[in-house]
Amino acid sequence: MTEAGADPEPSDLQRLHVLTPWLQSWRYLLAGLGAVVAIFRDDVRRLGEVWEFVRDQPLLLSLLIGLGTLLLVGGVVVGWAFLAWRMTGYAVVGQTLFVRSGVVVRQRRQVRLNRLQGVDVSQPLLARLCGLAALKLELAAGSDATTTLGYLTLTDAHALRRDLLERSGRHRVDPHTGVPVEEPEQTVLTVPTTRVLQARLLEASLAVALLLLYVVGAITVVLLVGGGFGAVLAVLAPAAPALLAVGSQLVTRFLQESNFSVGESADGLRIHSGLLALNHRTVPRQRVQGMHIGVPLMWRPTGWARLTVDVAGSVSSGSGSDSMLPAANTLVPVASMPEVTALFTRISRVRLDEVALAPAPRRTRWLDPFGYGWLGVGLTESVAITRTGWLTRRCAVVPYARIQSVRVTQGPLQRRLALASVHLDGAVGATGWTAPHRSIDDAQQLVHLLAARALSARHAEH
Amino acid sequence: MSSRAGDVHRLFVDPDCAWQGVSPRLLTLRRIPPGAVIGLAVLGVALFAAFGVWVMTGVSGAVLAAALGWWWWLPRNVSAWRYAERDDDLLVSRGRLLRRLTIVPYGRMQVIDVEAGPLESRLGIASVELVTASASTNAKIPGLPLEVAQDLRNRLTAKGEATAAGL
Repeated sequence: MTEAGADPEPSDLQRLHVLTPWLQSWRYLLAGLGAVVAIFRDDVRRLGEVWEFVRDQPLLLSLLIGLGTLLLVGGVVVGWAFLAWRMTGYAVVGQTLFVRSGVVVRQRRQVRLNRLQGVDVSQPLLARLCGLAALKLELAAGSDATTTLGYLTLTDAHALRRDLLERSGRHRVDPHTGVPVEEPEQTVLTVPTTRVLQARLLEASLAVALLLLYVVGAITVVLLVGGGFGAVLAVLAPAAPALLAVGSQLVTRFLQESNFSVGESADGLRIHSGLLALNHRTVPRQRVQGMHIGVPLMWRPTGWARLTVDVAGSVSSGSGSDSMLPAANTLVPVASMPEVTALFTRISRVRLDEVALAPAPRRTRWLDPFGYGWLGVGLTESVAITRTGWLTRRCAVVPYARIQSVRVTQGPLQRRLALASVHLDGAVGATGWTAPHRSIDDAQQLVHLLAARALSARHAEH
Repeated sequence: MSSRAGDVHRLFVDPDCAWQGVSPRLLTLRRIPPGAVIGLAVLGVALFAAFGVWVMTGVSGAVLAAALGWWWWLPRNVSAWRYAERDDDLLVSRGRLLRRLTIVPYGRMQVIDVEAGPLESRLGIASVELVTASASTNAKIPGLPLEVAQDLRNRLTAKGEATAAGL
């Protein structure tokens, strides 16, 4: 097996699909084209008049200049894209994936395949239209936990994925053929797209209602005071960005979470989703740092809930071309509570309804008048469970083996009431576990129990 | 054990553990900013009063009062920093108004940072910070005498290696 340090010759590099630079930077290309059109708007407009004034010498000249510039810019763009494509390549040597890119600043990247946790094939909208796909490599937690390689044709992407998984040694290999076995996948849960839409609308309805209330109130006040149309507009203007934000978030989330299905296979949970851009993700069980069940206020009458998981090293954020992918930690965007708890039990082997939760003491109502009845903490053999929140009701679960440190905090008001809050810290990617307002004796017991169990769970694992 | 442990609940300062406080020289370091503010505020009060700018005199007076409160508060805050080494984990207790206790198992320590800025090295103190895979662990012990900090680091490193476990 080749050492990781041995660099492959440039001639050994495989090229990505020739459309890659265009797909990666279509926004900039579009912007560039827009700028050119904007600058030479007049020349472009005069194109239509060319028939009438074809003999007009200065007009022809300016037209030629405009066309020439367009050609020049277009040529530069095409040349750059070609160069970028020529300079990008990858090679798989032994247990290392080499990726080279960059026209001006050359970048070399080595991905150690034995640290590979999973490879997912993702298809953003444009790539999907071209029949292309990108590979997302998930590595064991680190600063660069994800590497994207793309674009390749869909068949190439799947072939490379199999190859990488085979080389990573983390995949079961067929003893006869030596080909990695595609783990059979069993669909556990599918979420109807209509329900995703309903749930999203319901969740946004509160914000929309508040906005409407503001709009109606503002118009009424302005009319009562006797302001004109301009005054109405001036009052309504602040609401526009909020409305836009709510609307765009609604649409994005809906696009991400449509066609949602969760499958289970030997290498972890498989999540498939997307209406326009298709996304597939694998969540290895051993990387789950914690789980959360959430019920937003507006969902309470419907009995729906959502399930999120914290995955080590992945921070849920959508930016750039990834904004079409669901938040990294959504496991179920919406489902009925029994479905969610069933899936929860499948992953954690913990039956939520069998865990007795100790409520917070009654005096907590002075600090948390609306939510104190919901608060509760329960410890099982393997996980710690806490319930928090009063608008959105949450239930957070952390396995003892994933605890990095245990903290207690007590503010001045809590001290007067002899209360303290207990926190568990997880690795980067965990979103927190807090048991607020425990009685001080309870907190002390909890802290030492959690610290001890964190320790024994770790010993048991290694 | 620290003399002030008596008034803090055993949840935050368990009397069964051997608690160590931090160096009083940390107080000197921490008192530099309020000291500077007090100096400036006194100057401000005097100057503004001399020129009869009463509004600004009042403002300077308020700043002076706040800085004096800060000065008075610091020893209480500094004396509340404590740490205890147990068999399997390190306890760091701190804060007087907002009390905090952090428990870090040795096996979860990834990095142990010993840090001393120019002022700190002048005072002969350093801070020891335990870094785990979590961003919210926040187990920092400031103001340890240099040799104590180094000993602590060595002990922690040894214990961390003995019980090492990754994520």
